[in-house]
Amino acid sequence: MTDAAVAPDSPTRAEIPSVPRRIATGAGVAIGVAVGSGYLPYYLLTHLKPSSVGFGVAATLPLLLGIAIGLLEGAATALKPTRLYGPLSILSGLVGIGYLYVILQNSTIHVTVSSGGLSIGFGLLILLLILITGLSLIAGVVTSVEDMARPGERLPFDYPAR
Amino acid sequence: MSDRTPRPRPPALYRAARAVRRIAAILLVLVLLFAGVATYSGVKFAQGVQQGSSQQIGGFSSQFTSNQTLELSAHYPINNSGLLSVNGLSIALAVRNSFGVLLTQGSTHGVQIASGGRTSIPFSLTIPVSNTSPAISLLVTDQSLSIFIWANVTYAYLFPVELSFQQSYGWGAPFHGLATTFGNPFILPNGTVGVNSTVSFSDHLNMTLQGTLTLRLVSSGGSTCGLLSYPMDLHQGVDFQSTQTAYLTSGCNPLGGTVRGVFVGPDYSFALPSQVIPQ
Repeated sequence: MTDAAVAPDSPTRAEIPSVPRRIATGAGVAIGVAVGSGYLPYYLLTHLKPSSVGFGVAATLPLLLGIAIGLLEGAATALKPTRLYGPLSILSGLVGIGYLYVILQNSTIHVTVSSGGLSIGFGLLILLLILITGLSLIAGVVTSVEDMARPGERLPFDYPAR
Repeated sequence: MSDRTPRPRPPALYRAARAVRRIAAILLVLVLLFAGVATYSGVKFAQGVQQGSSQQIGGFSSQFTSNQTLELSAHYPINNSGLLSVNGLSIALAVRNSFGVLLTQGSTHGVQIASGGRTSIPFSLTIPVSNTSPAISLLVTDQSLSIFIWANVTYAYLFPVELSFQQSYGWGAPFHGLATTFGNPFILPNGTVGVNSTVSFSDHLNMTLQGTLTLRLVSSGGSTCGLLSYPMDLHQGVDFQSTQTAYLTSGCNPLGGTVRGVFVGPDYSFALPSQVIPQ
């Protein structure tokens, strides 16, 4: 890991934020992602259950996976200047795809209404989100390849000096 | 002239990764925005369905058709108070009698309901009422039918929605309580045996029953012993009772046999369930 890396043949200098600042930023990202992809689905599922809404996934599963994705995204953000950024992005993408795949398997909500029921499928939306997460994963792969081939090459562009 | 040095172009791999990340971010924002709009619109649509009369089929009517079938027609009203149009809304229906026996089923073609629009989807179900059909009891017995409805639609291109509900429908039989009773046989001076036959029933069907009811007295051996004919022009709710004399074929004993009725209307006809003539 390095706090002020400059690629050997880079024409510009990188101005990498301090470790505490990166940790703070990473924590913010982790909390945001965990709330958005973990706590929000958990809250909705636990509050929808009593109102005769059926969903095939236990509420704790999206919570745990959402927290895991949040932690990985936060770690990737904090470690963005290092070579771990690419692999962490890949891992985060894989967990995200796994998370969405679990949801995809149960992508129909059943609502009991008077004298009948209402079923709403959202599998196509989840497939789109899987596609988008797949793109992020590809970006992580490219960054990993770049970091292996030319360490520090991207830093002046990720953190340009003012 | 500016003395600032131009920023160097990022390397290809960096640009590739950045482009893919940007595309993913833009797509994510677009998908989430669309999902948000679709969810809000879907909630409005669902509220309209629940608050309106969309869980109730109305306008029932029935009529006989020529080939021993009954046609049950109604319509399904639905309004779309969402922001997005509803495309390809189709309805499947199944009608079961009080014993759960399937009498008929059918479906409608997909229709489109614009945002803020209200429509009524008409449908008609054909119910066979031949002697072998479980629906033949509809001719002579009032009963509560269960109508199962499944409404299918793909909402906002992404969300397949199925609304299912059940509705009871009180069926009024055209020959409710059909019964044929016989008096004591008598012998005419010419030796012909006659018997007074009284037919009674109530017309509970919501249509005028116009035509002729012909009853055939059939012996247990299958021979026709006599015929009875009752012209009628009955409106819904009217009780029918009429007595006629059947003159029996020489040597033919209808006791223990059956009464087989056929009703012939202006452009339809159907057979009624057989009645046993007591010994």
